[in-house]
Amino acid sequence: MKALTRYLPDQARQRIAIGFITAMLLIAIGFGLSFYSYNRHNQDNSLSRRTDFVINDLNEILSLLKDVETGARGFVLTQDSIYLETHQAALPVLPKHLKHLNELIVDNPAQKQRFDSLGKLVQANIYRTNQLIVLSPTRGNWTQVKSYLLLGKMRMDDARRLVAAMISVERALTQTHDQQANQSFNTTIITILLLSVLTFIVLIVSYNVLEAELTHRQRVEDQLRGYEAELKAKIQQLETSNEELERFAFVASHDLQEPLRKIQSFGSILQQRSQQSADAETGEYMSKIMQSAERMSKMIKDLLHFSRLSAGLGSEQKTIRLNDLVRRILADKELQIKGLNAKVDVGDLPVIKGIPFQIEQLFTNLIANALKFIRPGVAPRIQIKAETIDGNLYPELVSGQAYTRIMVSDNGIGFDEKYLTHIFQIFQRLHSKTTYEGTGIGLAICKRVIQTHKGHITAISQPGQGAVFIIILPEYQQSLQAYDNPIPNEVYSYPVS
Amino acid sequence: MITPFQTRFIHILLADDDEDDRFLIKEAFQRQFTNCQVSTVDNGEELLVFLNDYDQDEAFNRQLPDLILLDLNMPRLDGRNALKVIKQNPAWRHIPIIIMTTSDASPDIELSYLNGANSFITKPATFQQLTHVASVIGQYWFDIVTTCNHTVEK
Repeated sequence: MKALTRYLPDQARQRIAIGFITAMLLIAIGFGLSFYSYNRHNQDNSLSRRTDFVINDLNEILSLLKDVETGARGFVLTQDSIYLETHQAALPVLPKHLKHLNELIVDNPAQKQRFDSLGKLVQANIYRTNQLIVLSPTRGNWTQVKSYLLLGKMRMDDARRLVAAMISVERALTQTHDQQANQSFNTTIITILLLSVLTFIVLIVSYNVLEAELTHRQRVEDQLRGYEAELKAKIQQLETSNEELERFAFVASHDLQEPLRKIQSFGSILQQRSQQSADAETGEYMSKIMQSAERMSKMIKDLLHFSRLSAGLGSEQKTIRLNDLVRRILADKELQIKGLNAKVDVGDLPVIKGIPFQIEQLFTNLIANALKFIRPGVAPRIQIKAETIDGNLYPELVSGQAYTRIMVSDNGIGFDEKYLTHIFQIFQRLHSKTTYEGTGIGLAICKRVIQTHKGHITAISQPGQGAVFIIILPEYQQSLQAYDNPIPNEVYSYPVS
Repeated sequence: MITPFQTRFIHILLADDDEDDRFLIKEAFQRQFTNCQVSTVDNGEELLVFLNDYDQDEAFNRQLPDLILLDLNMPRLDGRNALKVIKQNPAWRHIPIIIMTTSDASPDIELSYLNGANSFITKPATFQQLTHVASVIGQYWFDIVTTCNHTVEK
């Protein structure tokens, strides 16, 4: 039952529950009715048995009365005491039968009345026959004897009528009773039959609902299985094509380098020769060839770098102290920073989990960009700071999850935000090659790194107003206490004046 | 052109499957050093054959090469395996081997040094850079560094 409730939708669950509860109620009612009917049947049986007893008793009483009467008559005629034997035998038995009969019919007032009359009749007859027996030997008063005998006959007739009436009443009573019992038995049977049919129907309906639900579920599950298999196949396909693509990029850029190197090598020999022969035009063309070849070489190297990045070489996640990392990058760029008279402020940066060389590349590129796209005559100022935010701030992130937002802001030339998606694409540039050098791979690499770290990268800028590059990474959950040998992350500026 | 630092004849053996590279490297060394002979082979197998046959060749004064320039990617026997074979052979393992290849992948670099390479140089892009590399190699191995005396005792 529990297993069912876990898997079935509410509506179907309710229907099935109602179905089964109804079926159980119907079965309970059927059982109750059967029990009731059985009891009734038992009662009816005992009732008809009682009727039999009553009739039996009545007949017995009548027969005893006859014995008493005939005994007395025989004695009166013959004066032989042999006739008194039956009379004497019947006398003690009669009250027993009367008592028994009284018990049987005590709850029927009409019968009771008749019984009382019969009882009086019996008493009177016993008294009368006794008188007759006492009177008869004398033979003196024959008229009296005769009247006694007549009275006995009349009383016997009365008794017979009474007994017949009582028997017929009892019979009628039993008959109506039997009729009633039969009727109620029939209705009970019909009711039980109806209930059974109803239970069957309810069970069949419930079964149908359950089966429909299970079939439906099976179909849905089959469908899901199908989707799953399809999805798996698609993922595999994607993985394969992705792998192929990355391999292609790697091989292509690797193999493309080879002929290019030849162009450059032999070109440089020719260039030397043209310088010696002092042919100015040839020299110019040669240097154009050489410049293009060099540019292409750089792009191929960048492409190779980019494809290696996504190939995930050495992609083991480690804990990275961003403050240490940024300090190291700034130390590498110390000469450039001093040369530009730039000021770099680094706030309190968190510890994150990431692939060290990728994260280093990310920050190196962002800092290099900030030092590259500077406004002439304005001392570069770079700020790096971090804060914790919730994922609901950006639609690209998982809402309710904590993220670290790191902002790298500069006071450089900035850019128009309509180029926001443009700048993160590989080999896309906003400025001419002569104004700012580079192949346009830096931010593409940044984006790739952020993607592999399940974060988000964006920027805020206006032309001439500087730019803020925002990188968002999942917050590192492990408690800092587990971190060995903690060094306080002090805020520092670079260069130290 | 740089004057040779030693009066003796210097023999460099270059193993590279690329004809143009063989030409460029040979050219770069011979432009830098007048007393330098660069022999070339196409692959690792030929390299081993060449080393086996060194004493048959009178021209090199019964000497093993002073230096081997070895490309990694070559047909038949590649540079990685040729390097292992040479560095495991007691008669040859004193010869300095400089890997000169297009690869700059870190596993290649690491494996080369582990197998006894003396240097690892990624082939430079321009001829100027290549002649510079040649002059640095020559200065280093034939002027600064003292190498073994590999005259064969008969």
